[in-house]
Amino acid sequence: MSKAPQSLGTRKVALWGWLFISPWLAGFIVFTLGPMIASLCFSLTRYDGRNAPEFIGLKNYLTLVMDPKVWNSLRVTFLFALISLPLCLVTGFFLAYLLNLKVPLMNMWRTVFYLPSMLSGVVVAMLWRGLFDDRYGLINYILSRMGLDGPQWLLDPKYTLYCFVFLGLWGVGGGMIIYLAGLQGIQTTFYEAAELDGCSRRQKLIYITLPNMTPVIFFNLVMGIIGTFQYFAEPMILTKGGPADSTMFFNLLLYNHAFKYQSMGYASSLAWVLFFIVMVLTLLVFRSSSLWVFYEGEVKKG
Amino acid sequence: MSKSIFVSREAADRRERTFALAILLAGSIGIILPLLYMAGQSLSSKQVIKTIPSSIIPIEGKRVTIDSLGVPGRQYFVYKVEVDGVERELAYVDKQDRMWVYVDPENPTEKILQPPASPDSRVAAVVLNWQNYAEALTRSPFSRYVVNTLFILVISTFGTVLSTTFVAYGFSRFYFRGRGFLFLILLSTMMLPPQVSLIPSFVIFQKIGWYDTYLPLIVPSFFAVSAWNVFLMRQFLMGLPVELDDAAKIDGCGPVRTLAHVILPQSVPVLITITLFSGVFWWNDYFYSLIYLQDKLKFTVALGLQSFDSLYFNNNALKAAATTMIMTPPIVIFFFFQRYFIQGTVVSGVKG
Repeated sequence: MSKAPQSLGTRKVALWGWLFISPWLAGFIVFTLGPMIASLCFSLTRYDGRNAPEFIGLKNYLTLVMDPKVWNSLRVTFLFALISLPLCLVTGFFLAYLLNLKVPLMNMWRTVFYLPSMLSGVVVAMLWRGLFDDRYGLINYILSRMGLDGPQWLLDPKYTLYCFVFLGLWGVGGGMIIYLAGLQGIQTTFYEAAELDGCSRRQKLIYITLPNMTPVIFFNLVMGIIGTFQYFAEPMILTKGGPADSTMFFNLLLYNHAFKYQSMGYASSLAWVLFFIVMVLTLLVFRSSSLWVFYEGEVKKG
Repeated sequence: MSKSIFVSREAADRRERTFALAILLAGSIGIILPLLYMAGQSLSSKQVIKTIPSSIIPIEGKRVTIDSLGVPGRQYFVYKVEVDGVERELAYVDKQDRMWVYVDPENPTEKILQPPASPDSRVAAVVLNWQNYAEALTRSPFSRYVVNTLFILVISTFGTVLSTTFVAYGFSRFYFRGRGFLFLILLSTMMLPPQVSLIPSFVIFQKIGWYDTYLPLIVPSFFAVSAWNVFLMRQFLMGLPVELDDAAKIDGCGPVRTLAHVILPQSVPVLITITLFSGVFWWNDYFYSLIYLQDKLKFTVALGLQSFDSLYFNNNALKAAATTMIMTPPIVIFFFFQRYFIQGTVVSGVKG
């Protein structure tokens, strides 16, 4: 845009612009920014939601650092992320790669795999509970047919987290769709050039497909990290965080403190810890992105 | 020379595709199986569910009514019984000494005395217990939950579409200072964990008497709180030619009329996408309803399903029927409009 003197016309345009975005701006201030600041203030108080908040400085944060339940839920959430995110990423990518081989019935496969993304977390939890049942469930039946003795999936703290990994894997289609679109967006000229140079399939995958897919993988990774810290409905319905807090995801702990124990101040400090962790992780991924994310049209300096 | 390479490559391609198909087929079975299992359970009787494994198809012992025996409506199990070296399907109707009395359902006048049959020799039949659905509906006010959910869904979706259109229009067609910065803030709210604003919002809504009403769920929708929707629509509007806007302006249209007559008619696909995503979101929402709603009569379907789950924890067939009813609408909607869902997901993921 050229720098024209502020004529009546551009001012009028600007005014209309402000007018049209004003719903978002008002909503952002009232429903996001304001509450964020308030939440920061709450985190410095003891507050039950009814009586006036009582200022206690950084005590919530000190309590939090010493609270083994907080460390446990961080461990649960991170462990889940470490298992589930790479697994879903690789599976989703692999499925998208297979779909992109121009297999017959591609639309049908795509529909089937995307289907679980349509369902409520409550429904997903109800669906899987029957399958995980240690006596009547399908999973243990299949295992018993293979000569294995299936565990008490939802009752044994050793296995509970893996149930949720299963659930996540079942919903892999959402990521798959994005990878598939990414794959379809890679220019065919790259592959044609590679074929002329006599590249093998594997070379094409490593030197063309993967580098071109890194922005998409990057996006999914960031969203996956954020999503793990929002994880709520499935553990709430299936295990309520138990047994022995083995599935006490961070968001569940936060919910319990805020709405079950009515300790709004402490819950706010937990929310800010969560915010901080998500921000640091996102920044780390962003920072590292220059090392591994390749944007088309970007010329490497060297 | 080149021909042989060509042929082998084609063979490799075919092998690869067969391999891909095998994997995709196996994966699809894994995706569909839990859904079928749930649908099967919803039609099973209690006894079927307590067999190991509870089968996907509700198979039970075949039962018949034989009115001529004097008890109309009474059901008798049918067994495979060997009579004089011939296997026959007979209904067990009575005991006599240590023997069982069987009759042929086709010809109930003749009584046959044979030793008791084991449960394994019952004749299997598929029995669909549709009454599970009726029972689930009468045990819990699901129709009420559906109405509640649709109420929230329709108003919220309307608010979302309306506010998103205005905001995306503002961000894509009008230049003002700070626009880039504000749009960046909008995008960054996509990555903001909602928990940081959740608790004060809850407290405020409670203080102004909105707790246990639908207002906390509905009102924010009118303020374009979903950055994702705004982003999606702005991307779309950026792709529309500005020339048409200019033409409208020359014809004397103001910004509002340009929006109504030029932009909106062209934006139907993206508006459908936003409507569908918003609709499915509110149908499935659990977290916000859980926090803000207390009165059972105000519950949404997801919340109703959860309370049903804890009330009838040992009646899997009823729970399965309720779950099936609640998961069906999004699936049906998806089958009809999948193009929009897939495109919406793709735009957010690939161009994001």
